[in-house]
Amino acid sequence: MIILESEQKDEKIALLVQSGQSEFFGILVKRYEEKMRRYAQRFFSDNEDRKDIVQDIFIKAYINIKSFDAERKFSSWLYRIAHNELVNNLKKKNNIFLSLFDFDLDTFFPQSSSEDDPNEKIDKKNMSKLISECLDELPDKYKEPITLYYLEELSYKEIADVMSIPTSTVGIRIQRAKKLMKTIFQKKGYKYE
Amino acid sequence: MNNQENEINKIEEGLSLKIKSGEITMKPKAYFILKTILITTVSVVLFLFVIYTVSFLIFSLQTSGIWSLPSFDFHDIRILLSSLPWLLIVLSIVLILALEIFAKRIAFVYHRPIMYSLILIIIVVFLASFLISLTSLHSNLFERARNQRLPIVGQWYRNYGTPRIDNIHKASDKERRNSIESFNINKTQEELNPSFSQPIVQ
Repeated sequence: MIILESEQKDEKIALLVQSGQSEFFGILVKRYEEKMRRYAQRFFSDNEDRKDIVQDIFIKAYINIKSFDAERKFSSWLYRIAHNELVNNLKKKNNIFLSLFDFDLDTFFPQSSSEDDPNEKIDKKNMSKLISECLDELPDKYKEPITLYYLEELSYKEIADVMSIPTSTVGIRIQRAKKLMKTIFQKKGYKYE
Repeated sequence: MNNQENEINKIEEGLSLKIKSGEITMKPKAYFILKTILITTVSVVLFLFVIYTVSFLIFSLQTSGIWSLPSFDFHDIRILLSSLPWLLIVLSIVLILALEIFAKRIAFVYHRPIMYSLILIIIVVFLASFLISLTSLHSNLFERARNQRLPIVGQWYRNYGTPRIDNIHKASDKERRNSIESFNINKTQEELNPSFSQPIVQ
């Protein structure tokens, strides 16, 4: 029974790496390197910084691979490592001390927001183009959920797992980001619906 | 595009070399199991310590008389504020927040707004603490502290377990017995038991 490497699921490959077959880790690197680079690009404009961060993400993933539960999605687990790495690097770069609680009112109170809608797929394609044009102008706390949702195509629940925030907060931040984008485009004189 | 592919290959090759040379190694499964056990143990200990502290706070409020303040006017509020065991209150708040931070590691907790988990923690902690305050745990420890037989937290009991407001406090068993005895001495047998002198009507 020969299964091509490219057909194997991420989780199965991760299991092989966990069992000691480290050479399979390269497949995961190949599959996610571009995504991680794109994800880091939203927060770090410097190419060298980005390269180091992407490399560190994969090093951390390899070191901690035995903590990965193969019943879960590998991509969410990897994005969680990437999120932590990006947050730590941003804090280091901007000289912000790690806050004990990372307190935000969005995560404190219950919010009402609709779950991700499958009919929104058409909207998603248009949105990813629009987001790329104005992402730099969005505040950091909106950048990440909107990137993960529209560009990396993660669900609300997966984003909540990556960022360790309530699912409703993910929804509300995406809604607010869209409103902000509308204002940005209107200021630029573009039409946005 | 070629540049990007080259970079991907560079990262992949670089990682492969580091893995092969042993520069980076996987942490063993046992490390993560131990970490989970440690975090769980710390969380349980923290939870028990929060309950102990809050129940001690309730005990302190009861013994100091603050719990029994009959009415509230401006004067009472001033006395109340100056008599509250602020250090214990602040410690309880800090411990509850620490418990919330630990709880936020669990997906079930962080998927929900902090307000919900915080309210749930506060309700559970106060219910458990109130139940403990109904037992004789703190009274016994207080007695031991008074007799200098309680190390480490003995000073706490002596500081926070003593009356604060005009000597109004929850009576100890000994005080209760003394008070009943002195009351009985001043009463005649008839006053204490009226039925004793009344004729039996059949």
